[in-house]
Amino acid sequence: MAFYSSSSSSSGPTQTMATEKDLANDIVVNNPAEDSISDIAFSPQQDFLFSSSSWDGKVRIWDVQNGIAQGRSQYEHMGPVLTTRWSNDGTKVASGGCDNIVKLFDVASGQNQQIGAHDAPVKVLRFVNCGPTNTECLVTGSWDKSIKYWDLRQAQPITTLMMPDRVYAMDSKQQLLVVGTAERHIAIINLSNPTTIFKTILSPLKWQTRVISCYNEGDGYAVGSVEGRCAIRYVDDEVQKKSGFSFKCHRQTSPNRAPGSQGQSMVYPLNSIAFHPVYGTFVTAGGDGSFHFWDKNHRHRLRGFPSLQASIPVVSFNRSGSVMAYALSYDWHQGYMGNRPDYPNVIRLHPTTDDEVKEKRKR
Amino acid sequence: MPSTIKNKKREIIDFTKIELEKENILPLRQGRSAEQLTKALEADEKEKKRIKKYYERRLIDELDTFDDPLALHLEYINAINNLYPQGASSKQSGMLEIIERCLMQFQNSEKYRNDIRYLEMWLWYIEIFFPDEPQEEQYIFVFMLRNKIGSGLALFYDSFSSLLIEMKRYDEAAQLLRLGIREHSKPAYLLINRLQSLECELLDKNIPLNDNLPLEAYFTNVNDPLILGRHKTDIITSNSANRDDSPRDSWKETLQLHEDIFQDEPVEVSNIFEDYRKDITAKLEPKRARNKENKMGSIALEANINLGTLPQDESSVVTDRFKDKIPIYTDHFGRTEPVYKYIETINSKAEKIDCNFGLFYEVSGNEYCIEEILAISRNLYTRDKVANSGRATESVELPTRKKNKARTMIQRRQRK
Repeated sequence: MAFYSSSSSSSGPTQTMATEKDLANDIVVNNPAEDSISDIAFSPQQDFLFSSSSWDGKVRIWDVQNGIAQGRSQYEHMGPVLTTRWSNDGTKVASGGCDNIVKLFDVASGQNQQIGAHDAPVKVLRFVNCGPTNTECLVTGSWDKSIKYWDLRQAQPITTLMMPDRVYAMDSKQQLLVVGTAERHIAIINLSNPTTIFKTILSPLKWQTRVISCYNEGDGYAVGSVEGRCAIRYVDDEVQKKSGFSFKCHRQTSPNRAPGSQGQSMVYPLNSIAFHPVYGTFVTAGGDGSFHFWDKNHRHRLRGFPSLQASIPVVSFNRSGSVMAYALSYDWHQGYMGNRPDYPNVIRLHPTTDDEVKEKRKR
Repeated sequence: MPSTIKNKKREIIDFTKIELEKENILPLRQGRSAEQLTKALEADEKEKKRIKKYYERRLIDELDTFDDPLALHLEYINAINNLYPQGASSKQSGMLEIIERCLMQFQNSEKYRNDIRYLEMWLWYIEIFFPDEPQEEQYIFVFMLRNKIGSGLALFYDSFSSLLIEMKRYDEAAQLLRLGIREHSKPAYLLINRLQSLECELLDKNIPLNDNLPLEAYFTNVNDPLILGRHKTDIITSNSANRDDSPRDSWKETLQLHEDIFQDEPVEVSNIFEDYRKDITAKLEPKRARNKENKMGSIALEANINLGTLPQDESSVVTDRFKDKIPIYTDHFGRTEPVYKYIETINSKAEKIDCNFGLFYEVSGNEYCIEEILAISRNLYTRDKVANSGRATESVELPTRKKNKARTMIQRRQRK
């Protein structure tokens, strides 16, 4: 925030803080699952088709028609599902969860099958094009401290790559695959050579890595930590030195502080980062229940939204970036003490405007 | 003042002034001087204040030099009496304070204990300030009895017993008169006559006298300690009652014991003289302090009587459901407040992280992410797994040397 506030205040007539009114047009999916939402993914082929995974062990496919989201189909895991993604052709949905199993769901036939397994819950998966032939395969990251490449046809992985620690976050764009693990390790893999780790570094952030998201250009990645901080990183050391930085977000200054004492800011974990597929700007969402649009190149905030009084575990753009889906459900960052029977559990679809997501020309 | 008046030639007293104020003049037992009355009625507040000041000054300066300090007090009280014909009980006169001060001052004095003037002052105090308040009168009489004020003077026993007779406490009155006789109070004939006339009166009225009242124990053996809240004599009598095998007799005995029990406060049953045993060293409090509202007087409680249900305040009535146990609810029990992590940084705001870092970072050094903790809490994932796989990979992937290097890097960064 420190980097942004100065430039955002000079940004003239455009407001940087949005109000709840700006969220009035959101399409709301009430009770999309019986438990917290863990992941949301849009189809790469259709604008309004998305899947959601939930702690209730189910993956649901949703379709939006005439402003109303409808459940198309669903399938089950043996345990909570932590991640879901669509294949590039939009025909299949993959998911992984606490039953250690990777499943593939055929959208057309409605059949799901197990395509692989880990020794521990599967935290995150991505479809990537890798190798010299650029073949599509699925990468899964697990708490068994490994990532595995699957070709979707064989029960055995193409290759298994050991990670420094349990995989907490992973993302891929173009030839770049970045894996964030426990103990703040970050492993960077060049997908033209997917069987070796290109570089292992320690997270620039002081606390636990929560989320990693790669730039559309595939030349860098953003890292979010539990301590409401986001780091903008580049793979190339020279570029990193020039353009890399980190900033604070998702924190609120406590209004009721004792007189004379210094203000204390309340910090929330940064849960999700998603890059706009067209403009390259990005959105962060956190445990405070707010999301903000940022422009990393000009280092300022495009638009901030007020807290929605429920944590946002995940945000996701559709293929054109016209819709941003976000879930409002308990992300368990306060353990069971923070949970309530009446905690909201909804998915909202926010139609984005250029004001929010398009980077502004430098004046 | 009085002495100067005596020397003057007597003037003819103008009664018209007295005539006008007649209703406002409080009659005194010893009568009033018409001359002083007119003077007092003529005197304005200033003059009265001057006289009062004069006596106050003398009390401070000369009291110690007097052989008979009571005389000075009496003189002062007398002067006040004359100055305020409308009555010493009026607030203006300040008589209450003056007389109470005098009474307190000599309360423990051997010299005045049996001085008739001092006793008369007490009796006067009772008469003026506690008319129609038998409870208060009794309180003060018992106090005097305890402090042996007037214990050698028949007048005291006479006054007290007449109060008791008035309150229809004949047993105690007779007992008191006998006590007076035993104490050889003077004049002895007064009490003997009194007792005889009382006995005759009671005989006429056909009221039996109970001579076995353990009343005297309260007066005579004042230092008798309490045993488990009961008096030695009580225990002795109850013991002797127990020893008696006849059930009828023991019932009689208990009845007898109950007869002299009076209720002071709703819960505590005690004899009227009981109170003064408790605070033997206590001083008599001034009337103002004692004169509390809503003070419940002692009520005689008859033995073996069912008072019925006591009226209860509706709001304080506990329903039957909670008769035995009152459930207590607490939100904090077994459910802790959210735990936060505080990070203090120099030269900037303190940060409060809305996460329980105690869960993220175990003491053993293992780190967990939110999803892992949730999975563990749902028995889908175990910590052993983390530890096991950790050992396997650590040797393969991350040599400790590298890790240490990483650590020093962090430290360096932090130092910056």
